[in-house]
Amino acid sequence: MNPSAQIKAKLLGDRRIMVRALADSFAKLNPRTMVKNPVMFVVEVGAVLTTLELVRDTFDHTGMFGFGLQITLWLWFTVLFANFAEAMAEGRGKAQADTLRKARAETRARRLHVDASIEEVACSKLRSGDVVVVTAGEFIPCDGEVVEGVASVDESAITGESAPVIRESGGDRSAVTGGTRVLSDEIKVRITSNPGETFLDRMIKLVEGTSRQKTPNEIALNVLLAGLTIIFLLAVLTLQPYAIYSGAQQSIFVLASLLVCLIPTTIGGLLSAIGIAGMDRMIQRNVIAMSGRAVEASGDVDVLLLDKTGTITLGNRQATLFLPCPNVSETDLANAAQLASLADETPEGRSIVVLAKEKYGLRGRDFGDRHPVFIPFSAQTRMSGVDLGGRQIRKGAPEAIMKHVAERGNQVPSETQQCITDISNGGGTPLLVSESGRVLGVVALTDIVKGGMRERFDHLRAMGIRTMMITGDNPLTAAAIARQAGVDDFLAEAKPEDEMALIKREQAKGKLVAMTGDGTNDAPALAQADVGVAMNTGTQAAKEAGNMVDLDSNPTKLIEIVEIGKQLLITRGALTTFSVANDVAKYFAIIPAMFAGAFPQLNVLNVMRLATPQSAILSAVIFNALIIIALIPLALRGVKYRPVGAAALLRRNLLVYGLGGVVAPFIGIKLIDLLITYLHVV
Amino acid sequence: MIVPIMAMAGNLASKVVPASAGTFPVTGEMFTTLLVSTILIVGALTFFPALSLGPILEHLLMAAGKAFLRVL
Repeated sequence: MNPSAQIKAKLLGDRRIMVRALADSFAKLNPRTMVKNPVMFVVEVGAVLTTLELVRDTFDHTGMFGFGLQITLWLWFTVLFANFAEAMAEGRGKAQADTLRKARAETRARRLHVDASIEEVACSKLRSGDVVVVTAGEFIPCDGEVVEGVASVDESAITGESAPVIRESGGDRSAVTGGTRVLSDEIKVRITSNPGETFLDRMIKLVEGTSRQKTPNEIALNVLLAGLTIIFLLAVLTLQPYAIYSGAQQSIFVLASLLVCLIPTTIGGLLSAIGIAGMDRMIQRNVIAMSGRAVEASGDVDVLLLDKTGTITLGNRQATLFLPCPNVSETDLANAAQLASLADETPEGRSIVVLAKEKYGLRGRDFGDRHPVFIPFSAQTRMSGVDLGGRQIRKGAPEAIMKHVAERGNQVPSETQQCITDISNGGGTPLLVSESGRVLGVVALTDIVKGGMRERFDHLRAMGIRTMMITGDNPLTAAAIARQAGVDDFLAEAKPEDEMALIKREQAKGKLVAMTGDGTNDAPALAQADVGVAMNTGTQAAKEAGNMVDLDSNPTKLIEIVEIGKQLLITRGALTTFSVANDVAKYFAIIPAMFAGAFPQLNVLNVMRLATPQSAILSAVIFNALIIIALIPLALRGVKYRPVGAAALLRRNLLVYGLGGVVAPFIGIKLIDLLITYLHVV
Repeated sequence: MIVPIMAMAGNLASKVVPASAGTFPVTGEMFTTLLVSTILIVGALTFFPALSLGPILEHLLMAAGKAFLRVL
């Protein structure tokens, strides 16, 4: 399904969300809720005033009832539409929270006491520091760390990923999440969070939006919109004395219409929906942002710190080349290397077998009665291999093999030594292969840069974002891979302290830094970075230090996160521009209509040739209300984002949302005017 | 109204933002157009209602031969 079809399905298909949002939009009419959004609050006050005026009108019979009723209704619709936009944005989160709540269902836990006795308690009685025993088929009661044992765990309740994951004590795979289910074996878990503070609880609060706070950017924009509202309030209030002086006193209906059309209701009504939808888009990509602030910061990021392994390159090095010594054929070398690797279960070893098979068609051996003896790798010899009918085949690190052959009175040819140096300089790892004390050649293991990374980095560069590769490799290797992947810079032989210092240095220059990490040693840097994305497979410490958690544990996702953040900021800017630009047309509709009765000459300003003063004002109000509904899909989906520089992006968006914002309402108001004149509603 | 705007401007000015390809460009004709049209639109929006009853109307009346002359 393409994204727009998905949005449609999301908008139209899920009727439960729609119905709930409809009910919510009425509940949100409560003035105490509305006052948080100054622009829409003013509209609500205007609607209340016209309603009161309408009641008065029924007794006074001023002949304005039909017009007044329609204006009043459309003003209420304006408020309801804005509420509906917000409720729709929250709707998906609420539906998701309900699913998550099911995972939190009250279960019993078996608490382990110091004296090794086991007591069954309710989950809500567990406290941080308790140790519980969880066996296959049981739910893990609370967030914690595995202190003993290894088990496969079904985390689909949290991640949506049905394949089970392995959780074991010690290392970076020890964190378990409450609400997930142990599928096999038994583990002892030390609880690390109290009930109500678990990851699941926080996630529910986040997706539901109950803990949502306005972000700095949102507050600034709200202040600006409130300022504009005050200016227009003054403009409208001072207009009445002028009008009275000119003998063209205006009714409450007209003044309220003018005010509501002028204040930036489009962006005011959609502002919170845009923010919520940004968080929601993260959740759809399985990223849990701990705050809207983090989502926003990700849009302003200047520097991306990316780990080499797993992010830029595939997790393991792979054999890519066989370089035989003089007088040795490539096939012989490949054959020997494959034999030596047959029992080698490491990814590197397997890649040698595969390469030999693919390049030289070497496969499926029948050793017959030759009784191969496989020599496993040991830390002392730093070699592995096989003894086969008198042939001693070995492969290993160059130093180890050199020592091995030297003991048998042989030497490594200078050509091969050159090969070893070249491979190292090129960022690869050389492995020497020998047979019965004679060197056959070198196998080059290289980091495989993931496909499409260079293009992604080019996109990022166009957006003004610098990418830095962090690696434990030596500077030479690091430089080679950095060049191959197309990153801007690299930090070689990086220790956690170096990474921390780098982040602080960039931040001191006023830059925003984003990074990913999963280990406990990443935690300080994750906390220091402006956007710290922790992997869900990572340790509890890392997850707590970061301000986002990627449930898929895919480090490349940082790039998508930045794009979502940028999209959020751009959507907000585009709709603000659109909203203010809209005002021009509304003026040309309302002002001539207000005074055309007293001064027919002002009709030259009626450039749209709207039928009557009343139809003109009503059309403007209707357009103003409908445009909110029309823009809900855009607010929820976000403005289409292109990875180009700010200048090009700005030019495009100014054309679409600025110029478009000036032109669109002229057409829209005219069409509505034609329709309501045709229907004779006023 | 000028005071809160100046406060916001001061706050923004104190923030150091290094320039890159992702920075909002503040030179060139595009920014000029953007700035000028923003000033004009927001300014016009503020004063247009009052102007339309004052100078604009007077001009239109005068064109129609109905100037507000003080009769001596």
